[in-house]
Amino acid sequence: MFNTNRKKPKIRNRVGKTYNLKTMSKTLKKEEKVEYTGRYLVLLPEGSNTADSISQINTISGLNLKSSLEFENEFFTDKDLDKTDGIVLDKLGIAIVNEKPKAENSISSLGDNEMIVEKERVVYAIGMLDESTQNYVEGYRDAVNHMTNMLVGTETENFNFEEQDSEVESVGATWGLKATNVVPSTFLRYNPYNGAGIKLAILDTGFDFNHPDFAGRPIVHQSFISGESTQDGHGHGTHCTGTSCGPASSPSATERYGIAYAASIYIGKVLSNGGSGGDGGILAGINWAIANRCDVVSMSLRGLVNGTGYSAVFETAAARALAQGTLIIAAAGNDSARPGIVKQVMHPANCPSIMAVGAVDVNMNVASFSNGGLYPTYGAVDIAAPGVNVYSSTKLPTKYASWNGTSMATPHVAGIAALWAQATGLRGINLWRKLTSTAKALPLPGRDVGAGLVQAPTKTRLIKFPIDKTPILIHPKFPFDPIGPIEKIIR
Amino acid sequence: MKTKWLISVEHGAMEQVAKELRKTGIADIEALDAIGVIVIVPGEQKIADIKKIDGVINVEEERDISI
Repeated sequence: MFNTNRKKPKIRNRVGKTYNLKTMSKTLKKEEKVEYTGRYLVLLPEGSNTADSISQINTISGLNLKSSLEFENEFFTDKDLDKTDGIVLDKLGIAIVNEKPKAENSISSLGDNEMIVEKERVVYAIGMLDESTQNYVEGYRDAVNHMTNMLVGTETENFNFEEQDSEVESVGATWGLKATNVVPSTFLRYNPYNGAGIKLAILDTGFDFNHPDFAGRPIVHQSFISGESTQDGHGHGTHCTGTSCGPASSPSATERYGIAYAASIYIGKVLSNGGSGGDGGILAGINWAIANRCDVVSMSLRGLVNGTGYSAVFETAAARALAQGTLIIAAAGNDSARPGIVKQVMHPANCPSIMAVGAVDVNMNVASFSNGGLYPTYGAVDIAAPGVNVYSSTKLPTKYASWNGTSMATPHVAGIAALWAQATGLRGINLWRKLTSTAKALPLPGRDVGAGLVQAPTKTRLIKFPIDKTPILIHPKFPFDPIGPIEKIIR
Repeated sequence: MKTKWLISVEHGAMEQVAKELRKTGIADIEALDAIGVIVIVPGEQKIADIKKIDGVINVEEERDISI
């Protein structure tokens, strides 16, 4: 893709001190001027192909444009662009045209021929904020919102009784849902997210379509196992689906166990009823999920790795999935016997572009079976989630079961990823970063739990006090208001 | 059953690689376009020969996977 490779702009303040853009990101800018690069963007007519467009532009304006297809992987630089009159981005139907003396009038003529012409703006990537700056800005935003709400009141969404009802019902939620803030443990926080509008694929042993907790729920499904339907003959896939996408309430379950209860469910059967398969079928399942524009793919499966290294084919596939906005989450594996034996993260979770999930128990200890990140450059555990004594749905007639495994931890992360995707609109690598940056740090080695325990997005419940004055807050270490004596000294 | 091979392919080279694979006598070809991977059931070919095809990034044998 196009790489501008510009240097960070410097900005001079009133006293003549120079800051770079990164430093300035914490400073409020009063004047915002649109800056232009000197180039033009030309939106080509809908449905026109690149070759025809180049020919048409040449006829109208005399400009000789190139196609992005002429560059390897359609990647070109400023230098490449400078050598031409302009380049047509084949996939977007947009031309970037250089400003040249002869071009000024000819560009305006394009506007008379069903093409939309704009000056190219200078843009700065918000996503390039470092984490501390982002926290600062978010904190500033939250403080302003909080102050505004205190002064003028807040919308009624903070008192949505339907949400409160579901919370009351979910007092009996699994320990995993409580530990990950899907069901906040304090009344001051609530979770308005349910995964609505998010497509979540579970690639596993299929699903029990007769399970009463999912009655009436639309489920898209596809089997990649020859001779077997998507009906789950094992129970493992139904358990994982239950954790990631199970209902908010159920007449027969003893606890709420589902996270993204309004997400669209995509079931890809890539493991047989015996619980095994080949990774060619898993690639086919990933391909199917991307083709269906799934935002999150949950894979509670693993292939043994004896030596070192990871699959280059899976890494290529996962990187392409991320680039298309699909986040793949996979189990680290259950091959360890801690504390004595810690095995490496298994295939395909050991690929750098696949998020690997380790398991913790209710006491926030690493599960004895959970694999660890043994190598510095790949095969890391990226995040941890509840994976011991996890209650969820399973195939009939058993209906519910409590199981252990990184297989159980993985759908916790997938379900919560769906909540974050709904809450923030983030996808792919940005969704990955959101999950890891909001995880709760644990006093455990990063080798075993990565960024920490996955956490769901929540909102603060604002409570209106029936008081006229702002209360005086006294620091517990200062029994008397210290402002008094300080004011006296100043006077 | 014969172990499948997984072939990662450069952007835009899927059709060309599939065509070359057919030329070598491979009939069972599954193209996964969204991720740029081709899964084949090999005959008498060698992995090294497949790697020589223009547009092929990598070739691996299929692994067993379980829950």
